[in-house]
Amino acid sequence: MNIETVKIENNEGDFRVNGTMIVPPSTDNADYVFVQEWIAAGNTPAPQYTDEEIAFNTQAELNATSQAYLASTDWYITRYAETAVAVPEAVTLARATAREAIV
Amino acid sequence: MSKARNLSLLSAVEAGATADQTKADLNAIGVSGGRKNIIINGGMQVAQRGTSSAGLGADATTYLLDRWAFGTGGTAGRLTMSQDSDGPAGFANSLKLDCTTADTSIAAGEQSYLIYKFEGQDLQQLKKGTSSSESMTLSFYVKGNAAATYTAEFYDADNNRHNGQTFSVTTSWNKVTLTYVPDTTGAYNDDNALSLYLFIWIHTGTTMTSGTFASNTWSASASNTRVSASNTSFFDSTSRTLNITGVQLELGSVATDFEHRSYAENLLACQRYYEIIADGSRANDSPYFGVGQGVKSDQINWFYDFKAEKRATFTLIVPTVSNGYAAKTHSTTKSHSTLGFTSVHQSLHSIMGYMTNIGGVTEQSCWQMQLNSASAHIAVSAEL
Repeated sequence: MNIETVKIENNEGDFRVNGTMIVPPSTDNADYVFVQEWIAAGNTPAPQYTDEEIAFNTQAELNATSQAYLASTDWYITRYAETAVAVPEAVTLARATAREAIV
Repeated sequence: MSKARNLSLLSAVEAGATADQTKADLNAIGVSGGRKNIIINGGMQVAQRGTSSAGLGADATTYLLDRWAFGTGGTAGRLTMSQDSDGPAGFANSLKLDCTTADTSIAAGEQSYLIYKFEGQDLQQLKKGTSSSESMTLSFYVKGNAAATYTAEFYDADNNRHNGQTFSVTTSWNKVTLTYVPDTTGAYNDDNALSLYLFIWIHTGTTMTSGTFASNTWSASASNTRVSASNTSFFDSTSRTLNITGVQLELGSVATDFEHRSYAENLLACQRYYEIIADGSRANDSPYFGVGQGVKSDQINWFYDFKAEKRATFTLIVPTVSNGYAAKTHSTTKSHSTLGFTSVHQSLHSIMGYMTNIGGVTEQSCWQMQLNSASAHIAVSAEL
């Protein structure tokens, strides 16, 4: 195998090689043996996430959490529209925060 | 052959002929020993990774036809490896090497070869390393663009011993038969790991040839005795070609007829080492790769049972394709450019992978996993 890039895939010791191959940490695996030789030759695997990827993942998680909160409180809005029962102030404020958080 | 002669041969078998005499007699009357070929895909039928790969020659080991790889180091020569429709009578396929860039300035350390790797547990019948060690016979068909001499070498990876012999290639299909003497030194480990290599050396520098090449002799490995100095350089001209098929390795000193197996049987045997889960480029292939389950807001886990148990822990191969991998319901599609998997969740029978970095997934939701592009592809490799 011709190794060009090696990146840490997860916290279980797996590597992503050349962007396309996920190699488990087992000496039974011929590709893992190649990766170990590559490291022994003085190379260092890239971290699991770049700063950009960490920022993207953080935002994605925030988006999902915010969307889930909005969905779970939509019934307050429906109830207000149908019966004029006021939406609690805390819910209104929290929904506003959730909407602003979504990018 | 007459019936009388057949009956005579069978009588000899019944009379307690030696193993080699029995094989020769049975072969002469057209009776197959069955399951005699230790090599998988010797007829070059199965090519899951593709049928042609060009520009090979940079330092790497490249699989194309299943179980067969081209390895190289240090050379400027380049070639195309392909599954060819040319073959001797009875063979529809062969593995073809076609030189596309010559290399006539050969540095000492250059090397190029075809390679086949064996698991130790598949070689126990050879009884290597015991006083009753057996001979083994390698046979195959070859054809080139011109006369050439190459070296077929077995390398015992468990004990670092080797035994090589040269063979000739002509412009016609010819059957090569090479019997390798028994080796009473160094047993093969009885496990699923690499124990034996078959190298077909087609190009080397003097590092591999400067010693005394002892044909058909097992000895402790020394780099400079592994290849015959009479070896042709495949990269001496862009006219060079080499076709090979019908490769058989069997117990004993008699080369019997090639054991033809069905495509399906060969494919299943190959899938122990490499299996395509889904391939978007194959029109008749299913684009689906299992069932997905939402496990958290940005992750779907997917599950797939293999067609064949894998040799060992496997590598997941997933080319990056924009939106190439999708999870769908009746009204929703989530897609991503790649997939992942965690080694703690693999077995030899199945895989649990994941699609992550996607939003809006509900825990416990169910998804159909499918390829979303002709370029998308999922495979697992457990090659030696």
